[in-house]
Amino acid sequence: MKDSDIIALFFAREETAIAETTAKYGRLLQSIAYNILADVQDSEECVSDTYLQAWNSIPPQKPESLSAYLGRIVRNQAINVWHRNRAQKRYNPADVMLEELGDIIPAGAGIEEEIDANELARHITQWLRALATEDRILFVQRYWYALPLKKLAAEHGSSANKLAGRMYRLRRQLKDSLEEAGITL
Amino acid sequence: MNDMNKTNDNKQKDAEKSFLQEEKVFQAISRLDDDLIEEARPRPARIKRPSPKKWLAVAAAVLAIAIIFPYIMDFSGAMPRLDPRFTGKTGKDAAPQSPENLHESGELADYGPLLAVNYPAGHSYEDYDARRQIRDQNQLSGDFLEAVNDFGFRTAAAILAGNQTGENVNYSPLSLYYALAIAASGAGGETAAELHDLLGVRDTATLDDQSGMLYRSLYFDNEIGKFLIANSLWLDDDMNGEPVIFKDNFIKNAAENYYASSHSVDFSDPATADAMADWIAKNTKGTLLPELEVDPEQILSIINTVYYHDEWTDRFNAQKTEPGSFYLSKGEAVEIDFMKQTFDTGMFYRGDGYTRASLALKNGGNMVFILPDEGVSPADLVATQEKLEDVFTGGEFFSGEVVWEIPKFSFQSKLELKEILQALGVESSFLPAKADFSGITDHLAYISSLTQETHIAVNEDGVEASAFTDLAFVGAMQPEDRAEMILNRPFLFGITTYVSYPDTDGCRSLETPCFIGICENPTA
Repeated sequence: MKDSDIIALFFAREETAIAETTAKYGRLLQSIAYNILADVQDSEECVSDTYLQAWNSIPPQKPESLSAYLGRIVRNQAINVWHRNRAQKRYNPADVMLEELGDIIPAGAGIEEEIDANELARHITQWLRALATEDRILFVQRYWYALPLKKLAAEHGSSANKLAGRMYRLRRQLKDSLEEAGITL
Repeated sequence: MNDMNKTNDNKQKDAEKSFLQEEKVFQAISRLDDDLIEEARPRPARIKRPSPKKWLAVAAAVLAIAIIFPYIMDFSGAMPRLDPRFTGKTGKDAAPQSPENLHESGELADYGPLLAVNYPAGHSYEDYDARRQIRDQNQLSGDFLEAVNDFGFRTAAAILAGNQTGENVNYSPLSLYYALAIAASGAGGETAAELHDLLGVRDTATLDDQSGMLYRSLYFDNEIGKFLIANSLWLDDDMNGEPVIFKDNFIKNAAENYYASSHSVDFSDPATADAMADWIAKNTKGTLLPELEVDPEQILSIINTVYYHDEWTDRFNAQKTEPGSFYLSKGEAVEIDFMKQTFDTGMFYRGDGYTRASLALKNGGNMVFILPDEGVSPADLVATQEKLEDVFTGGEFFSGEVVWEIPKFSFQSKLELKEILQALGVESSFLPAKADFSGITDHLAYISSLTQETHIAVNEDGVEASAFTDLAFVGAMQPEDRAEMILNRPFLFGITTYVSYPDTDGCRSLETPCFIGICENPTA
């Protein structure tokens, strides 16, 4: 079913919307949550909550890309669960990913006005668009879809070590680019 | 010492700050443009499930229509010529034939299929393209789906309201619909008009065409679940030495639109009942093993089976299953195991006298549970078609916490449907002098009996200890309301599935009831 048809079902308040969403995106959402949490039950909870949030937010929202819209919700759900698990000292793959993202944080005294997430997103988007396609896909797959390095390496025909180096260079490039733009977090 | 504390404090603050910054980056990445996200979309990942433990909902139904040769007959008219294909029966292992070859063959199997059918190809659970293709190729009409639903609720209300015995009852409207549709495809005159009226269609061509599409839309057979609908015709070409000729068009149409296999049998031979029972057991995966009786006067039996089996989308934790009391209508209590699960953010409906909530099944269906309010009996909720429809489709929507406690139940029920259909206006089909099944055979023939047997089980299949985390999940949303689906008194249930159809606004879908029942006593 096309996204627009599924969205039409949400608008018509047809419960089928959930079934259709599950059929089309269930696996994808589950894998995003699982990549962050590495726990089947935790990720199933995130996915269920994603459906409910979608049900409650469409309408009024009318997303252009349903997969990106749902993916954002599930990322947020997953990071909430990650917080909970972190408080309980449960290890999650998100720890590794967030640590990697630490490399991107630009150096700065912190006296300037802090940038908000939307503005930061715009800068990162701009930077991504200037990258070679493969690098761009790699970055988004690692940090948006939270795919584990090992899996990324396998998919891109590289070794995990080599790929880790490439990812590190990408993060440094982004950091430099943010610093050049005078961005502080 | 103080300095040390200060250093530790600062370290912690730094760590917190860096952590907040990292999360800000994470949040910013969340907001990347849609096209970048689409571009990088990975292939679906396979997640290894922690255990093969499955919670299943299994339901099966068989409906048998016996069409009989009237006892008092006028043989003065010329008997139809004996069709050469129906002479010289051969062994049981004769190969089934395709509809196209029917004319060319001079041989028939004894009780093996005279005409076999190829069921739709099953596709894997994750094969969305195949699903979409099936939907695109089978453009159902909204009117037809509404007619199927109307038929379902009308007949279910008549059956459930008539069940005054306080026994469990389970009924498959879909199974009855298919069996009657096949009979209607061979009916003429008033007999056809009455059947069309109940089935909610104008003519046989529409019924055949749409029934075939619905069949293909509903059918699934994958690694997770199965929804198998099977039809068969059992034909006896010899009535006390008088040949009976069945019309090719009827048999071919039944094969093409109803996936009905045809079997040539002798109803005066008790082995025929065994062959039919075997076919039923095979098509309901052994859940139904009916003891059939055949009438030597019988010339045709139409059998439909529906077998449904799927996994819960959200599994129950077996370790939470606990015995508890179920309070019967008469007041006494029985002990049974209750499966337990709580959804912090679930959906439910409240209406006059009931609360309804559903548990999703992986292939897109739902198991619907309706808990009558205290002091309301299931009979009150099924008294009329309008009330039953309201109970299954109406009510006010709420979202919030849903607490589930469901008794593990399993039962079989058997229904005689002739009188109910007569009350719903199908009369001439049952009258030897009036029945017109001229599309099936030129002989006089009428329906002598119509029975449905069903099996339903909501249970745990294969126990394997596995660890489940026992955390109450705190969702991002505040629950707005709360429902307790504690099914410890008689309740209604249904298995429904969504069927899509094209509409002027794009695509719509209807939730079609495949099974509807009342659980009065889960231990019965």
